[in-house]
Amino acid sequence: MTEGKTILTVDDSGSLRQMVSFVLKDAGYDVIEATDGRDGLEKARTQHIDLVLTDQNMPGLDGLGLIRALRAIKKYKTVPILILTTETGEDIKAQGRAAGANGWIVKPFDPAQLAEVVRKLIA
Amino acid sequence: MSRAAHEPASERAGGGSHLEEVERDLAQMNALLEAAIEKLLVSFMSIHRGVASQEAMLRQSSLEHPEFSACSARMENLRADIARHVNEALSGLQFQDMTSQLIRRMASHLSTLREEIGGAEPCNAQPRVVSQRHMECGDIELF
Repeated sequence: MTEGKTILTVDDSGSLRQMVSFVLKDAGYDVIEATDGRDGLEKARTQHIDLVLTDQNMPGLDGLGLIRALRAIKKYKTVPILILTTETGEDIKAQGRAAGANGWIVKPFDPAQLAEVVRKLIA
Repeated sequence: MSRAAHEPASERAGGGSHLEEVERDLAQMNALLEAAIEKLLVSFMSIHRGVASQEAMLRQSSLEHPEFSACSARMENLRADIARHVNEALSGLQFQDMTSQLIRRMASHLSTLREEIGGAEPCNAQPRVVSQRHMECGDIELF
């Protein structure tokens, strides 16, 4: 059931944001785009979000910083957060898990798999 | 003592200007790639919307005209083929994000090198390395 579910996608790459947005809208979700961690945090504070999909390496506030900030907000304690990144190292992945991420997706992502994982997490 | 310190100032300055040119070219290449991928994406999404509309019309026609039902199986195959191609195209189009990160990393190294040649303090902030060497889709791991 995707109706009425809103996903926040945070990435400093415009083309990646467009692609993620296209895939998720095609799967039936409402999508809000943010250009970096600070923008993402601001949009998350002011709007209702059911799942967050964030890049890791961004200027200003990075993905890990965004996750820590979101987990400190009561309404985002349990909202699923996925990191979508080119990073593959176990150390950074462990930091993501410790920060409160629910999953790690390595770019380039497979659109069908992305939609499936999102569906599983917010079904 | 660094190699740059042994070279005459004029040669160092010349090397620095070459590096500055390379930095500018890299920035331009990055901007061109970004603009190209944006255009490709817009076209791709328009094509996808057009195909989806055609599919919906054909589906409606086959419901209204039972004689077309023989085409249904073929249409389903075509739909699956299109979905697979869309998936592959979207995976492939992500190359720009990775190349852009690599270009920024190269530009950062060049900037450091230019500053070292010029005798200025190098900038230590480095963009993260991109390890991907192919366009196969990455893993998904749920914690």
